[in-house]
Amino acid sequence: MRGLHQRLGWPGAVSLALILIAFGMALLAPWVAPFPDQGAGAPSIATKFLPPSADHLLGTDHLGRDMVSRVIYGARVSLSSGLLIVAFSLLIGLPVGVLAGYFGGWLDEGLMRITDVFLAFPALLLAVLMAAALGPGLLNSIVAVAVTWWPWYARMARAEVLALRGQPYVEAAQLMGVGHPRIILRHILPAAVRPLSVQAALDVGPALLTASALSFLGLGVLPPTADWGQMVDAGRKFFPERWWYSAAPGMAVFILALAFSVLGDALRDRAGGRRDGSA
Amino acid sequence: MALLDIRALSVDLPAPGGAIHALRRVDLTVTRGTIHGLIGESGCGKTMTAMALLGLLPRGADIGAERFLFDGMALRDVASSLRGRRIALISQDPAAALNPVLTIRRQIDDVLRAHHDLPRVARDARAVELLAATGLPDPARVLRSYPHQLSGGMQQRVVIAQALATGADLLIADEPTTALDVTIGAQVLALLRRLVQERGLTILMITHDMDVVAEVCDSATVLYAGTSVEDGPMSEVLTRPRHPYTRALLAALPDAGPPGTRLAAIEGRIPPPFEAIAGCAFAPRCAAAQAECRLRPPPERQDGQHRWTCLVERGTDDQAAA
Amino acid sequence: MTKPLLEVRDLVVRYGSRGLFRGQPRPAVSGVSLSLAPGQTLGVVGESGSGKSSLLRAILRLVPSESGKVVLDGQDWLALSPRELRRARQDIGVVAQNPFLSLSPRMTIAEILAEPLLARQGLARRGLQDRAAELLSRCGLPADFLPRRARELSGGQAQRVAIARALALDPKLLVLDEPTSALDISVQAQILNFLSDLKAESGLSMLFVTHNLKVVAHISDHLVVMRNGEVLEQGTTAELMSAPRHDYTHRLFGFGMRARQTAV
Repeated sequence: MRGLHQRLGWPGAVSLALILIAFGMALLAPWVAPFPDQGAGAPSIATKFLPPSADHLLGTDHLGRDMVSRVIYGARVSLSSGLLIVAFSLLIGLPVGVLAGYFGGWLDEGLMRITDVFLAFPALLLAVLMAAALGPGLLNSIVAVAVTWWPWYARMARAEVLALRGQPYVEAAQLMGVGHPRIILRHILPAAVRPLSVQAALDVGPALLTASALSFLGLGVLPPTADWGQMVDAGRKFFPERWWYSAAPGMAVFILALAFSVLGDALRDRAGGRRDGSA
Repeated sequence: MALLDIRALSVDLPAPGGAIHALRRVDLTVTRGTIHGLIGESGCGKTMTAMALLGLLPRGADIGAERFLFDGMALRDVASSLRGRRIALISQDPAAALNPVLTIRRQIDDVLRAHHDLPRVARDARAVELLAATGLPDPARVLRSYPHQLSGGMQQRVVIAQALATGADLLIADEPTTALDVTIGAQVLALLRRLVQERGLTILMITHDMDVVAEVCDSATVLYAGTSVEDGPMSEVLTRPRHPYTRALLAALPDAGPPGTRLAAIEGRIPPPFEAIAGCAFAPRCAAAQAECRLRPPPERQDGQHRWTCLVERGTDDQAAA
Repeated sequence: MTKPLLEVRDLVVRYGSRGLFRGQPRPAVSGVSLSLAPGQTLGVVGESGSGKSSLLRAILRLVPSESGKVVLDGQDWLALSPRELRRARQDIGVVAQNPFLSLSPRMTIAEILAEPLLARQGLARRGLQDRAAELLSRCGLPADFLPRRARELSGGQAQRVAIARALALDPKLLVLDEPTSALDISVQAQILNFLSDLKAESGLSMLFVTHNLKVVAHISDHLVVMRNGEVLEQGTTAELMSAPRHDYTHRLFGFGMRARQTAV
């Protein structure tokens, strides 16, 4: 890892470290959480509403569960939903954008009008509608957000492909009689993926925020599974007397969303400073 | 006294793993009121020479010279203060040299305001006069235009007018016609020629194009691998080249012989700029090279105003245009 | 007289006008006819806006033609369906101006040379490496270039790789689009010599498009001078050089050192 801060800058390197720590804790939750069973949802009424202390660094909730453990377990859901939203969105947006940009013509027109329809709705409203229609649940909320998210990747992919389409080396392949699938896979995608992946990294934070917002509204995962948005919502009833209940997951969302955004900026600066194709 | 008097100029740029010898040894003398060509292929140091004259070398550059004088002043100390006042640059791409969102009036006026204490009306009159001097028809209309409304040749004339507005006496023209069509480029060259005659300007013409040299230059210096290898009056250098590199370069031109005949290509490649060279820089590619050529710097030779560096002595009768 | 390999008749290229009420724009190529005999080199020369690039792109079917005919080796080229075109394109090798742009920055030289071979169906995948090495050596480059990438080569070397790629499928026609304009004089001479050798050895037919009349005159048997989308004059190189009918052609030739020397 020597020189990481030189390549990403200090803010970027710190953000990356924070994100890695969060992922590590989410993966190793049963081992790193001080009260794994409480983190997973088991109540402990005797210890309810304890303020932060040496035993419970972030206090306990209305069922007496250790907030540190709950936040760590909540990271599993929140991080994976952030990542899955971006992944699903790329899965739809990338092919749509690449096909539209590469083939142009009526296919481009058609696909872009469809993305326009999705872009015309306010994203959160559409996500709420989708989630309400699909019913609560982790997968449903991920799908609901991804539906509002993919058009952006489609637009971006299309713009990248349009620029690459005119590159002499792409034209050269076409003139050699190389087939479309191979041109797309060999020449277009590898070059388009780099800027898109930077954007995707930038978007994990907002995706996580949106997913948290949905579960805050009761449209995400169901208790007793821990999720940051749902925890903030649950703690709201006891605010401000038991402030730690909402504050702990709220800070977690805030810090991670910020870290993803700073890291994305650092990656973009790096990608922008280098010539295409140096990878 | 020569306007530019440079002897043994070297520029080393710091780089990880040893210095880059951007210029190894450049001698350059430019007489007032003439057009002097600085000829070379890419990587020979012609642009680096221009940057040194303009005081635009990168930070940390190590400049060495026996003499490095402009009008008797030590350029090493004053280059950046002379830039835009007595030394102006005409770059290769006029479209990039002009700001696309400002009118031509604004861009010329900015220069005039920086150099002369004149009222607005007088500056406008001066701008019209300068544009007319560059042969632009309807200067008043050009003044109101934006760069994209002008053709490449017109843009280059505007850039030249800007250079005139500075009142500089030395113009460094860096490949001023390369981005233009042949016929338009010829007109721009004729303009530069006229400006030298009418206004007593001095031009250092940086180019890789022998036709450009032949068209407008009074004298020329040939650069190879950061070294000046030959220097003299244009007709001497182009028709009686003495240095093997100049000969090879001229023989490689597509119209050097009748169509269809083989051209004399120069095999090998230029030495990389981080390599130390003990002898003649061209020796590894030179057909006439002897063992000694690689060992010690070639001696300077002179015939009238024609100077070159080569170990091997030759008569004057043979020539490249055979 | 032999049948021409490439024949262009009254070709018109017009770029689409945007907007309903705009008038039709002036055609970029208006009624150009030319023909190229097998084993010959035809030079097309013109300045920017002359229509030479549009003509080339129309012949390669990178832009649609409005009217006219292009016949390549007896085949009605403009009538080919996209599927037929894909196969037929393998009969034409194309070399672009800047090898660092026309060779993919992500691929090794071996992969670049294998690409046209893979594109031709039915060609064995085995021996690709040998074939690529053979192509390189034909273009005067050593086989140890194969694992390298284009940016590690000099301009002249990279352009040779581009020519090697264009020759990979033994094309009937080699199309050269300003192939030496990005190169230094000494390297330009190497490439021009190499093209002359190719022509002499394998009787390759070439269409050479450039703004530089001197370069194209050196290598071409016939010349076409274009201006404003039209053919200004055409004829054998010797005819055009010794007695250009148009002042414009004369000006294209009559600039620079040779002109000066002969005038003195």
